[in-house]
Amino acid sequence: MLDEDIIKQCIEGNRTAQEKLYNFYAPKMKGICVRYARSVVEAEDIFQDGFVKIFTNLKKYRNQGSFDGWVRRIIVNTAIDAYKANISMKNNVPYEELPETENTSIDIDDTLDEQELLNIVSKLPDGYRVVFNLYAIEGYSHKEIADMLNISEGTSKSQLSKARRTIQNTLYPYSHKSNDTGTI
Amino acid sequence: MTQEPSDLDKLFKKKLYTYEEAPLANSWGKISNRLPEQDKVRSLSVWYYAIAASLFVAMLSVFILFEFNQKNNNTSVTENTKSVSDDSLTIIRNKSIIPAPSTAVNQADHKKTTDSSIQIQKPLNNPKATSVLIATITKDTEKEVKLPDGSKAVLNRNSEIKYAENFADERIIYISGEVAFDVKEDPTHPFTVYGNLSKTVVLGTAFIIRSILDEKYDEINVTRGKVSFCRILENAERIVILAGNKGIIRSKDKKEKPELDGITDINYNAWLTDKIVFKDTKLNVVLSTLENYYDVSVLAENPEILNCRFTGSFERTHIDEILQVLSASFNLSFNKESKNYTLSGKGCK
Repeated sequence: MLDEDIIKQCIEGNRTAQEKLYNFYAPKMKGICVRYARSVVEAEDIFQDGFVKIFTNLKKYRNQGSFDGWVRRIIVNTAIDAYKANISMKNNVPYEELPETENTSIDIDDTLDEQELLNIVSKLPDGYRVVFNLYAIEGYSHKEIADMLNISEGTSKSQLSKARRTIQNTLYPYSHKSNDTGTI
Repeated sequence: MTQEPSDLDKLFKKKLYTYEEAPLANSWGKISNRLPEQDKVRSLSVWYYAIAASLFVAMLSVFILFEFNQKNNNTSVTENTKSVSDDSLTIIRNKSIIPAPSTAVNQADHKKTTDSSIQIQKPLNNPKATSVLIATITKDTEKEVKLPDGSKAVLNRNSEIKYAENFADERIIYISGEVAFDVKEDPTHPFTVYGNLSKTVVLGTAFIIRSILDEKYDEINVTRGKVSFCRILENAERIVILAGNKGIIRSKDKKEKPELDGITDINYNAWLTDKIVFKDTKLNVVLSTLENYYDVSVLAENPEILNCRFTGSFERTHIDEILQVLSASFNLSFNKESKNYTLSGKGCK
């Protein structure tokens, strides 16, 4: 756990203390950046911008909740800023029909490793990825996401559905058709 | 709550919430360089010097840019493009936001031209133009415009077309948004359409061109005849697209040649024909089509709803009615919250 004193020293501008804080949080925060970014380069930008923000805003942290959570929130916000700056609003996949989801009750494959899941998330279209990250992994509600991204709750919900559908199609492209006629 | 964390979400959260990756070796260096120096006390004179220097550089660059701009004012067009005639400009904008008729409308009313304002204004960014004619549509979803040569253009919402007074001599038109053209055949005067990224040339044909800056691609769907389609570049490689096919030009592709594909979505021109057709179509596609056409969101509470297959067609129907039909067909119910619809029920296997 990070020492209380270190935070104080960081605010004072003590480089050594700052480096300690950085070393402590860097791997986890890099992990977050990589989830949100469109590329390795963008992940690094978000990572660096995020840490600069953390250090310049440290004095504003007033023991509101866990320090971990505060740091994480800043990185996520930096990632969202990057997304907004590159926004392509309509993230429907126009004119290219999404492959149909055959079977939605699936056995979740627990043997998939982090890298594979990360690749799947990285390949999602920008809008789907940011909403999926915020909802499924960070745990924000649609209302919160709508506020953060400046979209409607409906859009957030629809982006989430589409993200899940896309992920399912990627994970289970050959899942069997149980009943082709479809209607009851 | 219509959506709760699904099993899929939980899997991703479990594995990725604590995911860690080693930072690059030089990251800390770059970050610390951006932090204020440990030695907080900086002599004021350094600041003054810095400010003066940056002001000087700023002024210098503005001056240089200004000079540069003056010279380049009319030469930014390449050999492959032509600027619109300098005499006068006609701009037609469809700014309507109502996506579809809100009640079963009289067939007669629908296609009537309802210009809400036509103004003649001083030219905007074209110093040589003597007049600019702007027509703004706010009433109907689509606006049918007759061009001076007898061709027709229909504008989807949030779309705009621009052309010059001498259009009959040189049929050049600029668009943004989504516009359907029905071009009158005239082999002696090729009809050219510029999107943000693409240039389309035709002799006489019908097609829909879509160019929305934020989407970062231009797309053309050919309904009748054939078109030549290429990037706006000197000596750009052209492709010829026949009816029933579409071409795409993406801003991030480095290769010049446009992509060619068949038109797979039967409802690609639903906004134009006001007809939506479903043939044993799975509900996930049905709902996406409705979302696009009506500019709303339609979600299924239970993913099994998306498995249901529907056959039917609608012409100028209110979306509520369509959802009622779907609900009746599959024993569902739907909930409406301004522009957000949610379908619930058992669904299909």
